[in-house]
This record gives sequence, C-alpha cells and structure tokens, in this order.
Amino acid sequence: MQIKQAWMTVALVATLAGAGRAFATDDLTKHPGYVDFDNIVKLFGKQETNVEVFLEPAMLQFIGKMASGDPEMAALCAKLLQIRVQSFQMDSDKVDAVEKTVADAAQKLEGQGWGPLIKVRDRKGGSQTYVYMKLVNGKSQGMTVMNIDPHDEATFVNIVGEIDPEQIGRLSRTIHIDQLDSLRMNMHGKNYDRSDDKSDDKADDKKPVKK
Amino acid sequence: MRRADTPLSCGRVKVLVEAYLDESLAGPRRARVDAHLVGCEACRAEVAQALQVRTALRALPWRACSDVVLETVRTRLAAADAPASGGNRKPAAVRAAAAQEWTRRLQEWLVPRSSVWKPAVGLAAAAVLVVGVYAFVHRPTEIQVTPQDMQRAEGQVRWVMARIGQISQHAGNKVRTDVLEKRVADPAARAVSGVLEDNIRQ
Repeated sequence: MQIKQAWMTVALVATLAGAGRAFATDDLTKHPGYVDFDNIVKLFGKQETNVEVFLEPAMLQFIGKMASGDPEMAALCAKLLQIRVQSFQMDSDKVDAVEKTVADAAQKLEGQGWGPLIKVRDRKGGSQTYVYMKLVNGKSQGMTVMNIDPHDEATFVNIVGEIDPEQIGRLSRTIHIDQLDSLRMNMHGKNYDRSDDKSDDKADDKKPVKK
Repeated sequence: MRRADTPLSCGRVKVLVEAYLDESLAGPRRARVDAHLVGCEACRAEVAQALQVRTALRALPWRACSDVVLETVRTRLAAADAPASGGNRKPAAVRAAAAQEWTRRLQEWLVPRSSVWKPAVGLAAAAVLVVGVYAFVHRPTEIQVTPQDMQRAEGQVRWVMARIGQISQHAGNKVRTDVLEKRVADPAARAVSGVLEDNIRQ
C-alpha cells in the first residue's frame, strides 16, 4: 500500500508541475519589454486603426533565418519576440484625454525602470513624443514609442526583445518612410490576401496606409 | 430503512428459490426469504413444489456414460486447452485464475479505499483536465509561410523601423526648432530691436 501511495504522490506532483509549466511558458505579457497599451487604446473605442501591425515570435524568427538578402534585417529580427503597432486617427474631442493618459503611461513606464530616449512636448503644435528603452543588466529588453500628433494621428509601438537603437537608425535610413507608406499594411499581421493590393495608387500618400 | 429490513417480493423469492434450496444463500438474505415464507402461502407452495421436483430427480437411477461419449468430451477438452503453436500453454483454469488475480489487483489500484485519496485523485483529474484544455487552446499551430507572407512581414518590420526613425527625427527637429527659437532667434531679435530702438532715440 505504501508503494501505491508513493506512486500516486509522484504522479500528482508531476501532473501539477506540468500544469504550472504549461501556464508559465509562452506568456509574453510577463516579459520586461512588454507594454500594455489597453488603457490608451480603449480611449479610441471602436474606432478603426489607421495601421495595425502584430508580428509574432515565430514570424520574426523566420525572417531572422530566411532574410539572407539583408543581414542587418536578419540580425535585428532574430533577437525580437514581438512587434506591435497601433495607430489611430486623432479626434479633436479626445486630444486632452489621450494626452493625459499617454503622459500617465509615460510616468508609469519610468516607474517600471524604462529609460527615456526621447521626451518631447511641443507646446505650440501640441504634439508629444516618447521613446523609451528597457534595459535589464545592461541588455535591452524592449522599446516603446508613443507619439501623438493632435492634428494627425496617435501611434503606439512596442517592440519586445533585444533591440539596438542604432540598428533602427541604420534600417530607417535605408528606406524612406514615404516609399514604405505605399505598402498596404496587414491589419492583423498574418494570412493577408494581397490579391486586392494596389500599392501603386498609394505611392504619393504621406500617411500610413489606411485600412 | 436499511435494505436488509425491507420485505422481499414474491417475484424476488421465486428467483432465489434454487439458491435457497441449495443452501447457498448468505445468512441475512436467507433470513429475509424465511421471513417472507412465513407470511406467504403461495411462495411456501412454490418452495415445496421445487423441493419435491428436486427430490424426485435425485431419486432417479444413475446411468453410466458410454466410453465413446467420454472419449469425445476428453478429446474436445484437450483440443481446447492445447497451445496454438505447440508451446507450453497453461490450462484454461489456471489462465482464468491468473486473469482474475490481475483484475483484482487492478481494481485495488483504481478504486481508492481511503477517503484521503479521493480529493487527491479529484485534484489530479482536474489538473489533467486543465492542462489538456490549455494544451488544446495553445496547441502549436503550423505556420505556413508563403514568400508573399515573408515579403509582407519583412516590409512591415522595415515600415515600423522607418516610422520610429521618422518620429525620432521629427522630435529631434522640433527640439532644434524650439531651442533655436527660444535661445537664439528670439534673443537675437530682441537684441537687434533694442539696438535699432537705441539708434532711433539717439
């Protein structure tokens, strides 16, 4: 009977340990480089996003391995776990609330150990730009960008993973933003049918492409 | 009321008559049949009739079985117990006993006798259920990446990097414009205005 009890105890402990492990893995929201924009995003209600990018670890790793034509891009993506971008058209009614919420979020980020790279408040134009980097033991864990242009749009970016600002600088210099605006962005990040893609007719559009 | 106290029905007694007459009924059940028979004349008659048939059958003379029948039965039994490929197979009775023993052991394992183990088994079952549901929901999905998907994702990464670069550059320009206006252009304008005003006064 004692052997039976011992076996059952082992089975129970193993099962509970397995359950704990299952819950512990694959949860990027616990990553130090992850930022939750829910409080900000819900201010826009059901408003349609101008741009929404959501790239998952699997896809980023895939680009990291397969983007052999661009070593810089491959090196960047190989160390990233997630990229999220949400961009909304600013509504004049919401400017004050959004600015206040974003300022609060910036303060909260600083409280959580995020270091500001850029903090600019344009008193004339009313725009705000925050760029933060999270470092843990001297190693970057993520980057967050919050940009509000009251006359145009609000953009929120969170990059989870090891990222070097210099890499961003080098990559961003290789392509002009206006050329990239011609890309029809995938609103859900994957399985997007490009059959109705009309990139050429957006080539002169200065803003990110709308849905 | 306990089950042992409930009176038996006539139908139930009829089912139990053979076992009652063989004296293979356990004490409490036999007592319940006895109790029923005390108050039920029909069942008493049934038992008496069954006893009469049994006695009459036992009184019949014994006849010896013919050697042919005996030999046939023995041959069939031997064939039934013989191994399929000629190995040393245990007799059917031994195999049946072994199977019964394994069944008993398995039941001992599966049926928790102690109340302490019941919640533990319940907890383990719940944990298995939770893990199963979680594993089903978060099962690894096979990503089928087409060259178009790849190209689009790469374009999105470039777009994001370029957008961050654009935002940073724009913020930098703003700082420069603000700083220049406040610290250089405005003081210079004020200084020039002051000089001009002084010249006009003179």
